[in-house]
Amino acid sequence: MKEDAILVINEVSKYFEGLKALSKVTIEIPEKCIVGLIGPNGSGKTTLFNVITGFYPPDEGKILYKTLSGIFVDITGLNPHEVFKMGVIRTFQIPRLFPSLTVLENLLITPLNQRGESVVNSLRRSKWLREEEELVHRAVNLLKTFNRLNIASKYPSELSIGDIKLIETLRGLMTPARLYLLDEPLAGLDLHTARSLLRLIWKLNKNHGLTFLIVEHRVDLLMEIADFIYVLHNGSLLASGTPGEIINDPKVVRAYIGE
Amino acid sequence: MIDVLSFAIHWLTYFTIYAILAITLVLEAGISGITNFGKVAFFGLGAYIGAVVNTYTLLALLGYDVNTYTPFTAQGVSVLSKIAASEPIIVIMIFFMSLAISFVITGLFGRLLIYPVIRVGAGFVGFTLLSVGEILRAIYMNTHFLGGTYGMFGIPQPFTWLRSPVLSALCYLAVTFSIFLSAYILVSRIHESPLGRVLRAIRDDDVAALFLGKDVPRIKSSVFFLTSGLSGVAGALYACYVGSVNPQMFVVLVTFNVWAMIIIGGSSSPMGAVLGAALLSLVDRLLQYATPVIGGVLFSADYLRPIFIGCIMIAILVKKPMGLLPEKPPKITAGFLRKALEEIGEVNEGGCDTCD
Repeated sequence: MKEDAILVINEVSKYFEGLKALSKVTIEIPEKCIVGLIGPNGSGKTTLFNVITGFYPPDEGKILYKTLSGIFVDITGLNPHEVFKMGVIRTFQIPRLFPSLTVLENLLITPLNQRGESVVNSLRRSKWLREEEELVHRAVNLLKTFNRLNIASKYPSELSIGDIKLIETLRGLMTPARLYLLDEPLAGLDLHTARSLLRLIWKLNKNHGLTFLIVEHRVDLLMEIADFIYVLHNGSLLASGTPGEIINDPKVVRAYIGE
Repeated sequence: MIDVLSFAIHWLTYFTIYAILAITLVLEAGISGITNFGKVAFFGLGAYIGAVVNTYTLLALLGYDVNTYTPFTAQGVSVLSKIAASEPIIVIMIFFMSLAISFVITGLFGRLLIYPVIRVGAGFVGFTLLSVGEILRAIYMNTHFLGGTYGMFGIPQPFTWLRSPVLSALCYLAVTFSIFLSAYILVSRIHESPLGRVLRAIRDDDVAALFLGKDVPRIKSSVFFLTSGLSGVAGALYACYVGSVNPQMFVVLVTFNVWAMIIIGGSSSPMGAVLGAALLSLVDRLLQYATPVIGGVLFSADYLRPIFIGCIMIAILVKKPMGLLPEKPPKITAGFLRKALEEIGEVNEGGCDTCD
C-alpha cells in the first residue's frame, strides 16, 4: 500500500444476483491528485462509487481511507452520512436535486455541522444567522464563477438539464471535503461551462490540495486535468496509467470501440 | 339563543387545542415527510396521562384512598369536584405538572415508536402509527383503573375555584392559547432555520440527504419527539377542558380531522395549519351548537359535519391544490441572497417570478 494514498480499494467485489458488477477491483487514489475513472457503460463505475460511499456494502474486499491524522481506517460498510462526515463527498450521475428547494437552498444543504441544524439552535436565530449569511455568500460566489446568479432563487424544475447537472456538482463543491467523487460532472454541460468547471476543480486541487476521483465519458476533457486514469471494463480493472499511456493502450481502445 | 361570548371562548379553546395538533402535523408530515396517520395515538395518550395525573395523583396527594375514590365512581367524582372548588393551588400545580409529564412520556413514546420504522417507506410509517392508535384505544377500553369503556370523569379544571364559569373558561383559554402560540413560534422558527431546510430536503429525497451527510433517522426521530410531546400536551389540555376521557373520543377520525385541517390550510405552512384548524373547528363547533337549535327530530346537525368537511376540502383542492397558504421559501435566506446580490451589483433577475 502506498503511503501517499488517501483511499485504497482492496479487491472489492459486488454481485447483483448473478451479475458481477465489480470483481476484485483494486484501486489506489493518491492524495492531492485528480484521478479519472473511465470505462464503457455498465463497467461498474457508479457501482464503485456506491460501494465507497456506503449505498450498499461490497460482497468482498475492503475500503481503507486515510483520515486527517494520517491513519488508515476501514470504511467498508459505513452509512452514507458517516462516510460524508469523514470528508468524502459524492455527486450523482442522475442529478438528485431537492425539487422543493431553490437552487440556493440546494447549495446550502451540503455544509456539514451547520449550527442551525440542531433542534435547540434552530430556535435561537442569533446562533445561526451569521453562519447562514456566510454560506449564502459562498454559494453566490460559486454561482457567479459560472455566471449563473440568475438561477439562484429558481426551483430545479425551472432549470435546463445542463444547469441541473452543474448545480448537482456545485452542491458537492460547496463545502471543502478531502475527497470528491464526481459522477459524470461534465455530462450535459456546454463546452464553455465544462471548461469553467474543470478550471475550478483544477484550482481546488492545486490551491487547496483536494483530491478528486472523477467518472467521465468526455474523456478528452478529463485528460486535460487528470493526473492518473483508471479504466474499468465489465467490473474489473482493465488498465491504469497517465492519460498519455491510457490513450495509446490498445486494450482500452478495444474496450471502447470493439474488435 | 347562542350566547356569543361563551361560544367564542368555547370555540377558541377547541381551536387552540386542535391548532397545536395541526401545527405539529405540519412539522411532521408537511415539512419532514413523516406520514403520521396516528396523530390520535399521541393525542389520546396525552389525554389519558393528563386524566390520570389530575385525578389519581391529586387524590393520593390529598390523602384520599385511590381505590375507593376512583374517578369513574360517584364518590370519586364528587370528591374531585369538591377538591377542584376548594384547593386552587394544588390543583393548578398538578395541572401544570400533568402537562409536563404528558409532554415527556408522549414524546419518548413517539420517539421509541418511530425509531425502528423510520428507515422504511412512508406507507409503513403511516400504517404502524395508525394501528398503534387503535391498539392504545383497545388498551384503554380494557384497563380497569382507566375506567374501561366508560372512561374517566370528574377531571378537575384548574380554574373551577374562580366560581364564575366565564372567568374560569377565559383563564383556561389563556393557558391553551399560550401553549398554542409557543408551538406556533417553535414550528415556524424550525421551518425558517437550516434545520427546516434539511427537513424539507429529507422530505424531497431522503437518500440524497443521507449522502449529503444528514443522519436522516436521527433527525426525523428528534423532530418526532418534539411533535408527539406537543400532541400529548394538547391531549392533556383537552382532557382537562372536557373534564372526562373515554376510548370513543380517540378514534381514527380525529387523526383525519387534523389531516383535513392541514390539507385545507396548506400542508407545509404553519400559518396554513392555523387557518385550517380555525376553519374546521368553527364549522365543528357551530354544528354542535346548532344541534339543539335545529332539533334532532329527523336528523342531528352533527351528521352534517363529515359532509361539510368533505365539501370544503373538495372546493379548496379544486381551487387551490396546495392549500390556502402554499409553502414559501424561507424569508431569512432569501433576504441574505438579495443582500449578497446587491453587494456585487447584480440585479436578481427572475428572482421574484417564482416566489409569488
